Amino acid sequence: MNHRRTLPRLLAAAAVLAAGSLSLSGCAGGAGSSGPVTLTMWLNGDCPKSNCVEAPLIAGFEKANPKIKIKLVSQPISSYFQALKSASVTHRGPDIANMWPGGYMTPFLRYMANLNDFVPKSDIKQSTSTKYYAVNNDVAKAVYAVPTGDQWYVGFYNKKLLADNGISAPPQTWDELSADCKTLKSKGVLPIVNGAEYGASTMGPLPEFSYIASTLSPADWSGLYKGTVKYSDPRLQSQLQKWADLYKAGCLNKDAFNFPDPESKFEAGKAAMFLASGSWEVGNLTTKMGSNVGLLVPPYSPTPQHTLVETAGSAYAVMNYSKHEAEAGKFAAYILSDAGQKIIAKFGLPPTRPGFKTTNPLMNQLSAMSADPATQLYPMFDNYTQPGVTNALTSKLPQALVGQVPVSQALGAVDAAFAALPSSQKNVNVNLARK
Amino acid sequence: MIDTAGAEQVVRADARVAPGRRRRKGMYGRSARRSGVLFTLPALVLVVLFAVIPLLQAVYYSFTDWDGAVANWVGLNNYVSTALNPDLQRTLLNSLFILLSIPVGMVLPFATAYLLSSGIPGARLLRILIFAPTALSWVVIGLVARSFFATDGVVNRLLQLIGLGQLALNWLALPTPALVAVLITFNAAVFGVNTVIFLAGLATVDRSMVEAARVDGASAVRILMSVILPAMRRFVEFVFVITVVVSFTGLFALIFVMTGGGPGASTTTLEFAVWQTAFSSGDFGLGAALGLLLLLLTLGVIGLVRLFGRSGDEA
Repeated sequence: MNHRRTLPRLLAAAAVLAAGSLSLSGCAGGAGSSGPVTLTMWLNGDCPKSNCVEAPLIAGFEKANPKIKIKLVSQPISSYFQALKSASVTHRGPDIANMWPGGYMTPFLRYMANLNDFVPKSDIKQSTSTKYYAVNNDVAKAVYAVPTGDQWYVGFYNKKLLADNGISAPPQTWDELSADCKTLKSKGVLPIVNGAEYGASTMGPLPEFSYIASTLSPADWSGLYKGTVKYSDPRLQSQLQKWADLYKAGCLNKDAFNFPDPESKFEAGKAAMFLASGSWEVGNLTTKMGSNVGLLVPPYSPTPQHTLVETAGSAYAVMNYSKHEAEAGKFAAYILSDAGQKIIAKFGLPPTRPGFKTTNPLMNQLSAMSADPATQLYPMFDNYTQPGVTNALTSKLPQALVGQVPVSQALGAVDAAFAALPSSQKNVNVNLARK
Repeated sequence: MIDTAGAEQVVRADARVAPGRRRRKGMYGRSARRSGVLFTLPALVLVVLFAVIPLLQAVYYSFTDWDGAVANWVGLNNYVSTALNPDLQRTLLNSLFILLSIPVGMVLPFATAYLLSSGIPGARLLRILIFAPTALSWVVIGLVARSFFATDGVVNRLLQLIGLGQLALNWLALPTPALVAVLITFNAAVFGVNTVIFLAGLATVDRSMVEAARVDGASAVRILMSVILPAMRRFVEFVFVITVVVSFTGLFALIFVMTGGGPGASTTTLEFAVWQTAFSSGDFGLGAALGLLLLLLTLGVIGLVRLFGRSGDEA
């Protein structure tokens, strides 16, 4: 074999192959191509049939736009934003990304496209909660994501379990909760189940902390973000102590700190109340428990609870490093379009544009509560806390609940985490005007 | 009669040849050096690209507030924040506990390797069984360990089975038991690799020395302590160093899955704190400072081990 003649041939063949591959890849991924386009969309969590509006939205969108396909990629909740950050820094993230409002969104502002360029302004204006994804809550300025619905932190109760044990209505105050807990315990029923959800290693205390902190006025609540009000404020300590007393009194499962999948236990009727949750579970619980599941705003209040913790629900942003920004923008527009809102309503989520009512009675109940002038609305507390503070809350509050550390020490650690923040993160102004 | 003239001629001839030889040797030396440099160059380029430059970048970023995209110079702020971190002390203590567990965790692999090398029946099968789990990822090991130490897990069931049910705990929910569980899992996870390294080391021990000691009437313990262990010193040191490196820089997935660093910070290591700070909090500058602290700590421990190793050589 003549190597001197074979080598150049091999090199030439390799060059032809490489050029061919490059031209082919150019056809598939090139910007502005008229051929079929596949967009990648990241979802924060998994996509079970009963709890994933994204699936019918994508199906509807693909039907309306046959040349655009969307590949849905589920990312673990526990590391979603970290993964998105890493991918965005290197501009190798998805075309469309699941987004949460407030502090979750802030690190991504420079990577998200202004959706005013893609979504009809009339639809944005009509949407009740798209403003939470806009600069200064003003949709006239840049809008970075469009929500698939409104969202609330809320608990649930098992109607039958309460009724069978002589409790006619769900508790509305700390005292009522304590009394119901005693009644249920005496009958051998676990009053409240808590634990680690969605594959996490420990319980997530943030939904409940929003209600614990609702003892503060909206102004004082804002003060927590700025550091003018301490987390170890006596009012917060008192609230947190009452929460910890529930555990001490045996109202929660003993392994509440890290019991895996508490929701399944609640669904199975093995616990009367499940308070560390939110409206994103309404669909799933309705499917599993039917009319036996009732809404229960965590009654962490000395007087009847009129607080509701509400923020715009899960939303979708178009990443400005996407090679298919225009096509991705079409999906954002589809979410707020009539067709998209109908899909959301049919799925059982509360659409954000008026005129589209959901089929789920619990969702409609939440919408009604939210619209009630007597309801004091607060945002999801952790949506606006600095990441260092969120970490401290997530790490210390479960310890306070199960009595591993005193309440004062746990909240003191959160203050210490705030003190350790860089000065640029301390001056946070959160607009708590909700309506 | 000795022909001195001839001898002188030979010497002169040698003298004439010598510079040529030196020249050839010099040329060979240069060529060998050039080849050496050429062969080393790819590795050198990789080391510079993937170790030296990132390290220098990390040093720079540790003096900035880099958030992954924009970096402003903040001087020593990150190092001050690290020092003020209320969980830092606990984090360093956790790393120390893991470090201290390593020698204890090395005894079992050594004993196992010693038994396997002594020709017990089924040694080959046992070798495979012991080494096979090392192919598992840390995430899988963590998940298995999590169910192992769960309230209704194997540990508690075993305790109940042997009548020690009162010792059953929610292991991963309590600060000290959670750390113990992580330490046990970590040492169990490196057991297979360490056993195989010790096995390789035992194969290099001069059998004639062992036989000689036996003929001299030395007991099995004496042979182990005075012949085998000294011959194995390099392997013991190697296992210790790589286990230290893994304990400092490779435990993230295990801790993330088993405890998430909790309860509180009771299982948070420096490596986990780097992830938490950089990726969870988005503070890459502070994360870089913590990362450098971790690097210095790792190098310090390895340096100490090498120092003791060298003094052993001199002795």
